[in-house]
Amino acid sequence: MIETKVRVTNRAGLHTRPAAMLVKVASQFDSEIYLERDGFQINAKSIIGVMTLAAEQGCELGLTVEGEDEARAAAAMEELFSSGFGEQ
Amino acid sequence: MMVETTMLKGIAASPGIAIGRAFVLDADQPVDDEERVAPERIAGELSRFNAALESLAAEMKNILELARRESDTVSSIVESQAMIMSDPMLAKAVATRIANGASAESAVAREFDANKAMLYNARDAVIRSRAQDFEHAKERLIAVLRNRTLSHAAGYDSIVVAPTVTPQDMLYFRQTQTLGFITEIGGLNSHACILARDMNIPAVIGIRGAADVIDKDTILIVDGYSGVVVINPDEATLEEYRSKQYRAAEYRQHLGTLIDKPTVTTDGVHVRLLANVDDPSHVDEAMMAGGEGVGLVRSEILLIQHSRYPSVDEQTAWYRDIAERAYPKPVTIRAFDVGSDKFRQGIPHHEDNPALGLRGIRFLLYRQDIFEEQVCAVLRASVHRNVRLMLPMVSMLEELEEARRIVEKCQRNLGAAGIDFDPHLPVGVMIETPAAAMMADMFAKHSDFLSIGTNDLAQYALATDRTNDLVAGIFDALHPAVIKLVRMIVEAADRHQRTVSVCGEMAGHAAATEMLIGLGIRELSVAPRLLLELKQRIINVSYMQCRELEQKLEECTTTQDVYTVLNTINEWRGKDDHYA
Repeated sequence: MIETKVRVTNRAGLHTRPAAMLVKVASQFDSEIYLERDGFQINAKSIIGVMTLAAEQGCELGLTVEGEDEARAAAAMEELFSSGFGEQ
Repeated sequence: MMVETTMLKGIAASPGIAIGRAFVLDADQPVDDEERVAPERIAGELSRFNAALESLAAEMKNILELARRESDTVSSIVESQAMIMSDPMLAKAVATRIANGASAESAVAREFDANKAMLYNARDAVIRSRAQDFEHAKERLIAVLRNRTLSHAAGYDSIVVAPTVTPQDMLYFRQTQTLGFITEIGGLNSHACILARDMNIPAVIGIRGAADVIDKDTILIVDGYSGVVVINPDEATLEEYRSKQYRAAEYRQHLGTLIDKPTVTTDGVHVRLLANVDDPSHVDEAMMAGGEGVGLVRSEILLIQHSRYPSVDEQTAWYRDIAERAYPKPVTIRAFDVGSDKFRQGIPHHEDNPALGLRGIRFLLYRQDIFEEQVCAVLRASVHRNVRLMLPMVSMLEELEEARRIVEKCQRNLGAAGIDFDPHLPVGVMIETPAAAMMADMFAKHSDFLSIGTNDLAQYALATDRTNDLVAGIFDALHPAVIKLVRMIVEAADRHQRTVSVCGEMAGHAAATEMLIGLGIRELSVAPRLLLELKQRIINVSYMQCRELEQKLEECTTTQDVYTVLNTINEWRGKDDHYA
């Protein structure tokens, strides 16, 4: 199991489109992927979960990945957050 | 069965006239969300639910395909629905409810309703608006569980009458060439309205009880210009609307010969006709129709297209494309009018009253990072010196001054970086609050030009939300109070030799053209498709007549009076030259 922190750097926060991107990327992996904010944990493969996190720019989230491909999955998630979801 | 001719009034949601047969979608039977099944039936319910999900997944794939052929707006709406329907967390939660003895339908209803409620309580308006997606997804899933025939079995000459229409329904209806839509609920910014306008299908919304009142196969007329629906029209009414439809088409053709004529009244007053533009391609349309420039670029469109704040480079490319297509004619770019009923990304928290909240210039000064990037992009697009910047929702001088300081700062930065821009970029103020109208003299003095946004000005002057069907009847931009404010603004602009344009709906309003000219407006900005109609009207009137009309309007005390005076115009005009 990999536990780490990610930060929302893009201006829009985990809004509709970034949320959709996040779910698409997370769903490519077999691992269970969870994001946590203020003790509230959601499944990163669930659009509803991600939207209800309502994570805005600057906030820090806990990332938990568990499964066969956890290393790749965690790397992909971190990359997505640090790249600001492709926003320039 | 209703056989009498009946007229219902709703909200005009998408323009055009449709005549066809009613295809009525009844409201679904409500789901009993307490319904439970015996333990031995649980496995059966689970497999029924899984089968429904599978069939829905196949259906969504098909719909996504259809959506992609439409526009980005349409496909992003459908994509978010598809994601909800294939959400693993949601499916798991429903399955757990079924395993605990709920019927498939009640489990779906309960789980979706719970999520919907959670979204309704979200701080963020964009997320709150997603609650509608849940409702639609739930309806679809329950319909599949009940094996209901798909709602899109409408015939080729149908007008769909429904409590509400989902985006999926619309895409299917589009395939069967549905002629029009009538819905009971929905705001002007609901998915259904956006799609109807995008697809050029006439629509009227907000007719309560429409699906109960209108019987299947009844002949209907949908007038998407005025929001009127006629049920069982008699021969005379049908004839009237058919000729309206015909004239609309005919008229458009005929207008072609007007393109190269100058827009002057019979006594020689020149009126500049400009276009409102949401996309670079609209500029071409406007130029083909003889537009003298772009009076309003609604830059928020970029935000809606990208679902985020685009980068300086992305913005520059888009503004520059518009400026170059219009060159040498002028282009007025309105800074992001974020907030209110529009794009709300970046607004820090829920506002109880967003129309009176952090919108327009207030938001831009609150998020100066966003505003500076936009100003930079506008400046970079101003290399041909044909770009102007307009500030939305200004109500105080401080706002204008602060915005000017930001423009100067961006100019210094670009200058230091050796990037070319217009050092004299004109900065104008959009007058759309009563406060700005009262202070128009001061704004005229301190800005380079003024523009009147009649919709918002009327909304704020009349304290009426025009998208609210309960008060839509009160909203009228031709209320004497609004006319009085416009008069004040024009007089103030004249004193300081500033141009003042009208770019709200009033500019294209058939009844209002002469009035605006009489008031002294010399610039009108409308959708490109309205340019020639407007020119046709202007070249047939004299300024003296418009002045006389204006003087009569000064005496008006009610909106009804205003209309009575404006109707006298039809006596001067040829009867055939207006249809809407």
